[in-house]
Amino acid sequence: MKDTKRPRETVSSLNYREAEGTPTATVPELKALAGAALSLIARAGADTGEKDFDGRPVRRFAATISDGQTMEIAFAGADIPSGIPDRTAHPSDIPFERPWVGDYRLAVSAPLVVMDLFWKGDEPLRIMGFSRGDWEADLAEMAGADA
Amino acid sequence: MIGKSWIREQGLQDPLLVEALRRRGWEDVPLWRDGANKDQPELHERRNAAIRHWNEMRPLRDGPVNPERVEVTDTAAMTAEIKRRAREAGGADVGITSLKPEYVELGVDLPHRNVIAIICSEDYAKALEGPLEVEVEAMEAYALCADASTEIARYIREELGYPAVAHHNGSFQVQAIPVFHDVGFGELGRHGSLIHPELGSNFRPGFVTTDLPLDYDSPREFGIQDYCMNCNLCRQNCPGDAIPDDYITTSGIKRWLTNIDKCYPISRFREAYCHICIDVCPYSYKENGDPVKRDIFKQYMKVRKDEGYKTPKGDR
Repeated sequence: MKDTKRPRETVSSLNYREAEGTPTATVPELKALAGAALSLIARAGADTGEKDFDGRPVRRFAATISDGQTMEIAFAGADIPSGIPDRTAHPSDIPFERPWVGDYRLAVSAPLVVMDLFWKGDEPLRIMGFSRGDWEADLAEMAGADA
Repeated sequence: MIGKSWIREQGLQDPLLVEALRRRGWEDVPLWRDGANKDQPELHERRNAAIRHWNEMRPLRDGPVNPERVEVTDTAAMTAEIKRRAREAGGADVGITSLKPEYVELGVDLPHRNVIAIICSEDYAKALEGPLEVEVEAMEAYALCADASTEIARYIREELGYPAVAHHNGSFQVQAIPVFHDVGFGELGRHGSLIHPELGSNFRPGFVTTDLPLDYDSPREFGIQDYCMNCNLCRQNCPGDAIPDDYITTSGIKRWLTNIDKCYPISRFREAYCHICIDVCPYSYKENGDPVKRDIFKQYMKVRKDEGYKTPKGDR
């Protein structure tokens, strides 16, 4: 449920990029990468018995990638959805939708965190982190090979 | 062209920061609360004035283009003139390259051919004067970048007749690091910032994207990434242990991604600005051999030692 109360505006609260032009359609590359990670979790993810901060069960998948390092996919959620939402939260909405708690969190480390997504049903996706790199090809290849 | 680079938002627009606050049961960032820096009101006001300034510059990022376009017959001369003007406006270094999707915000259509990078330097000596002095210096450098990029964009639109948009802290759709690398400002360091041979990482960015025909600069390598593989000063001095040993690669370039979950408790959740990873970097003086900066570095490292941080053994 959205908390629509606006936080009190201070000078420092204006220290945000004006992001009027930021698109809210989730880009296809992100949907493909998330889909690949989710498919690996669904097919080969291990139920670790762990719970995350909000009590969601955590599943993990790990494999060696092309540079010899380990890629790990961590997924927290009661069930595994097939994909991520079609819309991405606009930055200007984030401060005014608090507290916000997602149902699903998906993080890929290769070996540093390169993609971290948080979402809830059909509500817009929240990108917690996303760094482009050679890991994308590794993930796509693994998901394809595993299919 | 459609952008491919995700840009982390700042402040409460960053969902990771909002999540970190939620987990602590906090409403706002201590550093930004009213009443912060109450013992240094003049510095606090200078910092806020700088922030207000770049927000006030936001509406001037773009504007009408003069329909009487100046024909560019000598791109080398035009490039030199743009660089001269950018330096005159406050830039410490200026570089130019063709705009690529890797520089542009994810999903954003930025219809320009070229990008001009302008960096404004920070005074390294502020490191010895405390976190708020460092923060004021950083914010004022950002404000100067807003001035410089806005002026160059205005000049290109109004006097030369080409589309041009300024990108600065008020609003931007350009990812800084890959542009910096490709215009030859330096190499990405372990601490996640670009290291410039003369300025270290003591600078802030502004950009102009434009269709003005210009000559391009090239990437420069001077051994920073190899140096960072052996130097651990920033990692050892990070109070949050947020700087990694590991790295990822993007097209053969090493990228040490700062662990933001570990960085925020130090850089956002204390009532003091954090700039330590930049200020302990020996490249603030190493390449240029500046004895003044070397002396500042030594004094600053003494401060760090007094605070309990050790220079790692074997460090150069």
